[in-house]
Amino acid sequence: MSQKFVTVFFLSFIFLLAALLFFTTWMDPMKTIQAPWSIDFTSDRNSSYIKFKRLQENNNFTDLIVGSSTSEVVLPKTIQEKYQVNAFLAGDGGASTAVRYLYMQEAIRSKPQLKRILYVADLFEFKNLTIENQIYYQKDLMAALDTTTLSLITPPSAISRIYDFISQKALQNSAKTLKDYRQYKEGTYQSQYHLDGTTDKSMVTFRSEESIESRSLRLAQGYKNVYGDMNQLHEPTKALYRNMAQLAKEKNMQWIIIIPPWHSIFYKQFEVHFQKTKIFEDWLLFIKSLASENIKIIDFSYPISLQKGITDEEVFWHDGVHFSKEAANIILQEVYVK
Amino acid sequence: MLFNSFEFIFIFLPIVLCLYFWLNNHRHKLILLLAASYFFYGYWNYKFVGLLLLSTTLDFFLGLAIYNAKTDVHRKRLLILSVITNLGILGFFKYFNFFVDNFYAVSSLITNDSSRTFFLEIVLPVGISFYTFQSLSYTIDVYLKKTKPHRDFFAFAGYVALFPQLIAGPIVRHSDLVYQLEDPSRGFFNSDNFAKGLILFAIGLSKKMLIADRLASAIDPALGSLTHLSTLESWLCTLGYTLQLYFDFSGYSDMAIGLASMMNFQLPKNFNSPYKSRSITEFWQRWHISLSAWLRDYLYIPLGGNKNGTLKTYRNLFLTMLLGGLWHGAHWVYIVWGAYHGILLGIERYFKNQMPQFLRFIQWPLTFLLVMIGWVFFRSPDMSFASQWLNKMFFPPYNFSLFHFESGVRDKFFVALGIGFILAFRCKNTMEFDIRGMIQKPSFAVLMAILLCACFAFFSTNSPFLYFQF
Repeated sequence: MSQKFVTVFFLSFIFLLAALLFFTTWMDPMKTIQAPWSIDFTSDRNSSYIKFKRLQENNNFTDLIVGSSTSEVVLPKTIQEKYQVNAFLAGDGGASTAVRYLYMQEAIRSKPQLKRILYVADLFEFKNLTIENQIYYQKDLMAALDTTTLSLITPPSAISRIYDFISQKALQNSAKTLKDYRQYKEGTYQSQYHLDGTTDKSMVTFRSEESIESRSLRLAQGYKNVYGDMNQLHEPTKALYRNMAQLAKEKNMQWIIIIPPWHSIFYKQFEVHFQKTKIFEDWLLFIKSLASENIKIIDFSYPISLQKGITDEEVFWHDGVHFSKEAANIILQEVYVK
Repeated sequence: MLFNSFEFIFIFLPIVLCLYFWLNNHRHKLILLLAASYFFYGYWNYKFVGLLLLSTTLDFFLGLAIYNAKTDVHRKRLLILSVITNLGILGFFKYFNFFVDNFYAVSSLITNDSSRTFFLEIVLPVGISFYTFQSLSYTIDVYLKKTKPHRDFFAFAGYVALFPQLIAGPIVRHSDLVYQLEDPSRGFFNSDNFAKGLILFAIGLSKKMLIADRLASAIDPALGSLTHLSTLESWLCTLGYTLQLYFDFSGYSDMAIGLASMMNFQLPKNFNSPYKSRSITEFWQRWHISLSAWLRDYLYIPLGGNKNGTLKTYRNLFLTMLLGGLWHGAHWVYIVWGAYHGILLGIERYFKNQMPQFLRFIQWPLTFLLVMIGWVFFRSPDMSFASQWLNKMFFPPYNFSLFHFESGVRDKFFVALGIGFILAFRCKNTMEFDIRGMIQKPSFAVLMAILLCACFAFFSTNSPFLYFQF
């Protein structure tokens, strides 16, 4: 009887895995599999890919905004209203330096009207230069990335590819894609990504009832777990920054690097957890060393941010590192007015 | 390598099991197990494989030397060498910086000089506390003439390093495992044992991935902002961690026992529904049973146990628990946790036959509450964190907000908490299951396959077992 148990167990196990694999590859939520049986539909799941597509479709902007989630509150609509400049927001939550470079490169290559790039820098991107599976295995995105950049990037581990098919995330994304696909078939599907690159699902648009102090503390704890072993600025990331500087110079493009503000609680926690403010100072020095005729550095690092009007008040913050639209307005004023 | 990783389940385990049952020669099987166990250990950090080998080789030959020694003095010297070497290795890797820290802390009080000139960056080898205890117990047993020395190095090395129990136990006695490793009849595929192993492995993995990790995903971020937690949140963190630790560690033990069973080895049970205990003494008979038994046999009884009068019994109880706490880690929180349990055991012993009637009705909730309070120390990074946490739980201002349990994980937390409660308090534990009956029903095989697949869904998050740090 126990032999039957073992046989039934393995057959069920194999069947369930095969069913899961079929479903995730059929829906292909990240558009990274593109198997013959995958559906021909692009959902919002692969945000980098969808932003890239929007960037290709939009020919009206002169300014490109690049960065991670911190840049998601730098809104093209506000820039248009206040400074009469058309912008495209390529900032994307969790975006690696590689994907930021990819957006820049694509915009410079395909948008002759492009004048300016606003880049919200990030200390933590200097931990390493990895690339997400959703970019590395996405044919169109990879085709846009040059080989010099690729040589600097640490590719994702082979084992992580399994999680694209078998994981709660993969299953959840596939189910959401199926729902979107049904709506698409019915003609009612609406992407959450707009033509100017903004999205309705940005984390920084969410308002929490939790106090900013508490949010900053919690974020600092999370950052400590992820970045606690960061000892020095990652050389390949620095090299990629230099490549970006070179690219901007060659194309005679104005590149504005914004050193973003931090909430004082986060900064103080950073000092405690990381016990190395030296890395912060090294980062500032490195970013400032890039300054040139066409590269402008706008420094809002703590505590300069306080002098420039971004205080610890709740209104300026989503959490310890993610500033609000109100703070973004102060930064934009420095970009476009001063 | 983690049991809850694709590398282990889809590559390492199938290869090892196939080779193990395919090989005909028993010695080859032993060598395979040993090589696989060393690879398993070295996959985390190959540099420490040498340390494991050193500890094993030393105790193997010291065991023989103790047995062959002509005089008692010589035997004693050899035992002292084994104890010093094993505890020296453990002490260096685990406690060196702790003692240096405290030395500086005390000297700065005297000299007013807080500068610290000496510090070593020491990486703690995973599982060192477990394998050191296993290896050391062998030489002690040979010295006490409880056993004869083992002649087969591979079987002995297999006992110290066998991968299912190498990292976090159960702490196995050589008398339980070496003979199993030497027995050639265990090298053949046995579908009963294999099916039992599959069931235990699937259940253990589910405990870890579906309950413990779901609880952790809410607790860890919340404790990150402890100063802002409400009273309710502080209690939920304590309750959640109480269940998380149980499901994490007992899950690991189930998986270890299950894996060993697939290869026809029997490991001792490690948990027996500890939260059903009605006293702290009972709790320690049900929680991490293999460690409790080790501490009893190699520490409490050698200290005199309860044979030398009341005061010395209390002293021995307290010292055993204190050192048991220190075994968990080189931090004051573990020492306090151990001392706390030592005091509770002492109080319990004192009131053993004089317990007021009303207390008998609240024995279970009282025990559970006391254990929970102990876990606050266990989970805290330092004493000030623990006191702040306890302060939040018991003292005003009282408030009942739930802002710090992130909305994305809050629902899963409460579901896991509810299921955890039912499983820990109302259901039979894995060791009480009628595994033979389960094997008779193919529907259970389907259920186990579903559980295993459900666990895979959460593999992308890297979540080592809590007891790996010890």
